[in-house]
Amino acid sequence: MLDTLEKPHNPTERAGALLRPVDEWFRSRGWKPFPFQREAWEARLKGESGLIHVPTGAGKTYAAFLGALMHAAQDQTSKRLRILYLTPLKAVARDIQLALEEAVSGLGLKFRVEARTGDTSAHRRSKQRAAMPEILVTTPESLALLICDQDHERHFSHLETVILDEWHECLGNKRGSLLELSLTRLRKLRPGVRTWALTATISNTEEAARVAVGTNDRPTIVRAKLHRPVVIESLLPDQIDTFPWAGHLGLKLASKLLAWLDPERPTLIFTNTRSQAERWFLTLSEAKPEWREWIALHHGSLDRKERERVEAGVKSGTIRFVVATSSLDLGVDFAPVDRIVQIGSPKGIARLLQRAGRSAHRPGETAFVLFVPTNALELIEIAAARRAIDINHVEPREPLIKPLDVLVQHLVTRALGGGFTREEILSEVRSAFSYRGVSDDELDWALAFIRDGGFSLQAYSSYRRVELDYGVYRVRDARIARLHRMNIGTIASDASVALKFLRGKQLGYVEEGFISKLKKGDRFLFSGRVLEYIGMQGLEARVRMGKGGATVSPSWHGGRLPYSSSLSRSVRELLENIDHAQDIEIRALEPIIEAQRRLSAIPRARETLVEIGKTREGNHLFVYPFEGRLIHEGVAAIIAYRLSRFQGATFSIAVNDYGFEILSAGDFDFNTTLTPDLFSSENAIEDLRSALDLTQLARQRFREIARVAGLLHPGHPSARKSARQLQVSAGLLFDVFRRYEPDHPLVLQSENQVLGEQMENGRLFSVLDRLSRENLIVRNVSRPTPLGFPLIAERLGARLSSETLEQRIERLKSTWRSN
Amino acid sequence: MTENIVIRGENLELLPERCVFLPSSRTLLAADLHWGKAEVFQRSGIAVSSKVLADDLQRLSRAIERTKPSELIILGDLIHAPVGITPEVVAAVSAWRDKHAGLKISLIRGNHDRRFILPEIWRIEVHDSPIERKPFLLAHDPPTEPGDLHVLSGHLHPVVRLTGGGDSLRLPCFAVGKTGSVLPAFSLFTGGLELKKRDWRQLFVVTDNSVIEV
Repeated sequence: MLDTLEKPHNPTERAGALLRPVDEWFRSRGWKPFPFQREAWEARLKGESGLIHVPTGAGKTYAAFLGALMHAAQDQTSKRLRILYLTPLKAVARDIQLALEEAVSGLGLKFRVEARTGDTSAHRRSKQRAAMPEILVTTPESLALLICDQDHERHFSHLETVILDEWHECLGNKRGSLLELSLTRLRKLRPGVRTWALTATISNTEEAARVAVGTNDRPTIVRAKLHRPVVIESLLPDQIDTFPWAGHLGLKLASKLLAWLDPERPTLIFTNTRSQAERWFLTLSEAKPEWREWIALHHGSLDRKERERVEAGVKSGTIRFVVATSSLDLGVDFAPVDRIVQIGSPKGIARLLQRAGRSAHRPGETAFVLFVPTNALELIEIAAARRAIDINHVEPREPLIKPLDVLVQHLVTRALGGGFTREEILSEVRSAFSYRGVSDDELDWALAFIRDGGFSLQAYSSYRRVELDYGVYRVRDARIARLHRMNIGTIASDASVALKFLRGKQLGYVEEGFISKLKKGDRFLFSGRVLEYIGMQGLEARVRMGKGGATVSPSWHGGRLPYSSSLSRSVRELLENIDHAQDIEIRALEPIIEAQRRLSAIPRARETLVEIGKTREGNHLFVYPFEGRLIHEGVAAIIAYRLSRFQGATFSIAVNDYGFEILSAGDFDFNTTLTPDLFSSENAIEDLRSALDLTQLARQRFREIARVAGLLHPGHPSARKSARQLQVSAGLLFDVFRRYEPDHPLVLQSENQVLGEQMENGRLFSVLDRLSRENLIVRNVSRPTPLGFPLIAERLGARLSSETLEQRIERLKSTWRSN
Repeated sequence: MTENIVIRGENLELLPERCVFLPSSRTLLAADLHWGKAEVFQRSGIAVSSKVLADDLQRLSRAIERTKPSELIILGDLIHAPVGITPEVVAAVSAWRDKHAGLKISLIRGNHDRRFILPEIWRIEVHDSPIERKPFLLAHDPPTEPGDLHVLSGHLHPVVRLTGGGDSLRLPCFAVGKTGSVLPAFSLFTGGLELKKRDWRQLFVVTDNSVIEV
C-alpha cells in the first residue's frame, strides 16, 4: 500500500503520509495519539535521533517504536534485523515483545518480533544467529554477546533504529558504559542507524540525550507535557512523644496500616531492604490470617518462579497486597494496583516518583502514596520530598566517565568479534559520550593490558588474552573466548547459594557470606517463613521449617539505599523555614521540634548547627550539614583527621543523612578546637586521602572492577574441575596487584572510584566552602537531642586510626581477650 | 622478629618469612609455595605478575640466610599446577637453586604436586609420604586423628580474623594444636582458611616483619 503513495518532498508531509496507517490503527482501537507520541514518530521519520522524556506508564513504548516501525515498513522485502529494542530488565522482555507484536500485526506488517535474553533457549538463540528477526528485544549483556560473534556484521547489516528503554536505569552505572560502547560498534557498522532513548523523570535530560546518541549525532528531545498528579499522605503515629527517634523497621505502625489497607484496593507496599520486607510480610500476614491468599512477598532473592507467580497474581488481581523491595520499582504495568505504600524514607525523589507511578496507569491519572514513617525524623523527609515533587525538583543521573574496566571488557569483546586495529578502535571508542575524552595513553594501556599484561613483558610471559596479528587485535585461544563470553556484563553479584528444603523445593538465593556465618540450628526469616539451617549439601544450603522466632537476620548486600543529595537539600530548606511550615507531618512533629529547640537549636538559613556533649562513652561532637550520608562521611573523615593533628586521639565516626558525630574516647576538648577553618576546602583531597583507609575501601571496590575487566571468573554451574585452579578472591588479587604493580590503572581506578564517590564529583568542596562561611551555632548539650540521637543509635564503627598494623593487632588482641 | 616456641620439648622458631626452623636438626620448613600459580592465571588471560615468584624466592633466600639450615623441607604443594611451570619458571627456580647449591632440599608431595615430575636441575628430593623427625611427623595434610608424633603440616593456608572496636584484620598465621601444627601458606598469592581461635592452642599472625601471638 505504501509503495503506491506518491512520496511528498516536504519531510513533515512525508512523515505524515507514512504515519497514516498508524492513525488508522489507533482510530480502530479507539485511541488517540498523544502529541508527544506524534512528535516522536515524525522526528524518527525525518531521520532524527533523540530522547523521549516521559513519566512512566504513558505510552512511551509506542512513542519510540511506531516511528521506527513505519520507517522499516517502507521496505518489507529484506528479512534482516531492522529494529533493536534494548531493555535493562530481562524480566519484561516478553511483555515488550507482546506489545510490539500487537502493533506489528495491528498494522498488517509481516515482521517477526523476538526476544533474546539470558532466558532464551539455546535452540532459539542459534536460530536467531542464523537469521535474525526484523525486530529484536534484548538486554545490554545479550547485545555485547552478539558483538562477540566473528561475523556479527551480518546481524546488523540492515539495522535502522535502536531503542533504549528505561535509559535512566543505565545512566550512571557500568551497564550504561558497556551499552554505550556496544552502540559505538553498531554505529560504525551502520552510520545511518538512529537512536531513541526513553527516560523517566531526571533533571539532566540534555546530557542523558547526548550520552544516548553518541558524539556523532545530535539529539532531539521530545517531552511529554503530561501532568501526573502525585498525592502523598502520611500515616501519623497517634502519640508522637512515644514514637521512636531512630530506627528503620517501623512495625509500630503495623496495626494502623492494617486498618487502612482494603482488599478492594490492590496495593504495593514498598520497603527499602529485603529483611524489612520479610518482617513486614510476616507481621501483616500473621495479623490477618484471612488475607493469606491475597498477600504476597516479592524481593530479588526469592526464587524466580515464586516472583513470577506473585507478578502474575498482581496482574490478574488475585493478589491484593505485595510487600516488595525495589524489585518491583520497574517492570510491566500492574493494572489493578491502585495505591502505593512506602515504608521508611524513600531516600530519593525520583525513586518515590517511580514507585508512586506504579499506581497510575493512564496519563493524567493521580498516583497515590501512603507514607509509613519508621522514625520521627522521616516525617520531615517525606514533607520535604512532597515539596520537591511539587516544584519538579528531581535528581540527575550522571553518566560515569570512561571506566577502564568496562573498556577492557569491550576491547576483548571486539577482539573476539573479528578483531580490530588500534586506529579503528580509537575512533570507535571516542564516539561514545562517556569515552570521548579517553586519551591515547589510556587506550594504549588498555590494549597493552589485554595483550601482555600491561607492564613489564617479562612479568607476564604466559599471558595471552588478545594477540596482535599484523596490527589486528584478536582472541585466538578458544578457552579464553569461552571464559569471556561466560563472564560478559558488569553486574557484580556476590556469590550466592541456593536455599532448599530437605525434600528439594527451592526457595531462592542468599549471599554466601550470610550462609557461611550460620551454625546448624540457627533460624532466620526468608520468603515469609522462619527457616532452620541444617547445613550445606554441595553448593546448596539445606533448611527446614523452624519452630519459634528467628535468631539471626540475613544481611543482603546492597541493602542500604544511597541517599540523594536533592532530598537532603530539600530537608535543609524545610528546616530553615520550619516555623512557617504548614505540612501535616511537620505539625505532627511539633513536640519533637520543640524538644530540639529546647535542648539545642534549629539551624536557620546560613547557619550550621554543632552540638557538643559528654557521656560515659567520651566527648561527642555533632555537626548537621544536611548533605547526605556520603558527603558526611567525607567531611567527618577530614574534620576528624584535622582534629587529630591538634592532639593525638582516636575517634569513632558515625554518619547519617542529616549529619555526623565524632566521638573521642579520651578527654578531647572540642570547644576550643572548633573553628571555621576546620572546614576549609584547602588541602581537602590530601586530608581525605590520609584520613580514609583508602586502601581498604578500594580493596572492596576492586571486586567489581576485577570482575568487569575479566580478572575474576565467578564460576559457572557448568564450569569444569580445572576451573578450580583459577579460584581466587578479589581481595587477594588486589593485594597482589598493589604489591607488584602499585600503579596498575585498575588499582588506581578503584581508588579513584572511592574518592570520586566520596566527594560526589567535587560537591564535597562546595559543602566545605559553605560550612566554613556559615555561622557555626555551637550548643553544649546535656543529653542527646532528637537530631543527635539517631547518630548515637546507629554509630558505625568507622575508626580513624593512626596506628601501625602491629599496634592495631595489639589493641585488637586486648579487646579479644576481654571477651 | 621471630617467635620461639616449644612443642614436645623441642624448640621451634617461627619466622616472619612464613617458615619454621628446627634448630636441633637445622631444618627449615616451608609449606604451600604454589610455584607457577601466577602463570596458570596468565594462561587463562588473567594478568597476575610473575614477580610473585621472584618475590617468594627472595623471601625463601632470606629465611635460608637467616637460619643457615642444613636441609630445607617443603611440606607439600611446591607447585600450583603443571601447566604453570613454564620454561621461565623452571629457569628462575634453577637460578635460585644455584645460589643455594650446597643446601639439601626435600619435598613431601602435596595434592597439587601429585602429577608432576620435578625438573632434575632443581635437585629436589621427592617423598611420597610423610617424613618422621621425632618428635615430629612432617606431612602435607594435617592429621585427621591423634598419633604418637606431633604433625607439622601445611595444606590449610591458615588465616585468622582479628576484630574489635570497628577494626578488622585478616592475617596468615601459624596454628599450634594438640596433635599437630600448621604452617601459613608460604606464597603470598594464596587465599586462606579462616581458623577459629578456640580450636587451637596458640595462633601466631605473620606480617612482613614480625610474628605476633594473638
